[in-house]
Amino acid sequence: MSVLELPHAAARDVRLGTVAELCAFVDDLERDAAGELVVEAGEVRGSIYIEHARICWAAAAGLSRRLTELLVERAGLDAGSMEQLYRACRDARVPLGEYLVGRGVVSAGDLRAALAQHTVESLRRLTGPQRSGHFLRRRRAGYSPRFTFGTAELLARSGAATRSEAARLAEAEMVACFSPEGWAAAFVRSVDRATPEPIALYGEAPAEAQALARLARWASSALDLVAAFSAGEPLVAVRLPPERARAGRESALAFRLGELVIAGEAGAHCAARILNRRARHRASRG
Amino acid sequence: MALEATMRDALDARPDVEALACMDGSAGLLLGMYVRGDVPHELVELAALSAPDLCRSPELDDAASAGPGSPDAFVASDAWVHAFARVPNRPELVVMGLAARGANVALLRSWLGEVADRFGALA
Repeated sequence: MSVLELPHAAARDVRLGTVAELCAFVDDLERDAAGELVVEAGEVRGSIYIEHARICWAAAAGLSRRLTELLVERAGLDAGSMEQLYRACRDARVPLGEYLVGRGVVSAGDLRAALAQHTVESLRRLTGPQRSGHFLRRRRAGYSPRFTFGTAELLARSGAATRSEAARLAEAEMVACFSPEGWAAAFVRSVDRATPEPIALYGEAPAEAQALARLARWASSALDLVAAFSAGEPLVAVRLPPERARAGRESALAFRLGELVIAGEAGAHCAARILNRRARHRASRG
Repeated sequence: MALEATMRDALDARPDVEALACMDGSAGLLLGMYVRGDVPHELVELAALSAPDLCRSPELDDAASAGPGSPDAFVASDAWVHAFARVPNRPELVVMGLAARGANVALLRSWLGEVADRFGALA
């Protein structure tokens, strides 16, 4: 794979105040676009490679050894063994992750998780107040979608990085409430952000962060409306129109879990399952 | 008048339902509301006024357009179950039924769907 700069490619300035702002830029790119977002802001330097509206990798100054550390953790190797593997993969001209999976040192799932964590840490390093980057169009390099990331997943992982306890709680709740055919996201509302921030995903969620933002706005708006005439922790369930519904995803749901808003699409019986779960909780409390 | 009579008849047939209302979302008009028992009227009115917005599903693909109208919806809270149904052939009209928390949600929704069908037949 090689990433070649296109001749006469015009650079485009991109605001990178937050990871959400970066994700919005990626979502707005044409589906077949590819390019590199270069950040140079004093000591904060790095780049983000984007292809097919997915982030393929991100690298930030100061984090060059981080991916190796994450892989070492997951593989349970010592630094010396990892160094040997690193040299071997360099000689074979194979990307490290691919080499480790090929040799059975780490599973594909472990590699994906390490890549995701490294990408999120890099994005968080590269974004910040008054930060911006230059987007340079490149030829597509053909990265496997298996090891690249939609903006929805990265934004939720970024949110979870600062709210790990709430993210764990939300994940457990979504597993208990939603069926495997459905999908859901958990959000927190911050006073300084117009749109609630995702911190956890469940199921086959949309790849684009902007779809999560629309779901969050719908859920928040519906729950705010309901708060005017209903006390406690209401559950809102809306049947999807026939043109939107599919098997296992016939309804849109929204409810609160403490400070969190959980929303998603699920089967027709999911709401009944949630109500039954709540009734059992009430009964167990006497 | 036909709408009022239909609402009264529908409510009489279901003693467990505390209130029934019909809202015209396009005109922002509450066309009718019947409440019985000790249910606060203002809460029923607020819920009825929210009906057209609650009976709307999220639009995930296109930020420019409002979410599509949904055939029906419900809200279950600590004290009440509010069910909403869009009237066939008159999508601007949404009927709302209110019952206590312990009510059978599926039966309430099914009954409200029948009420919406009757309203549609009036059109």
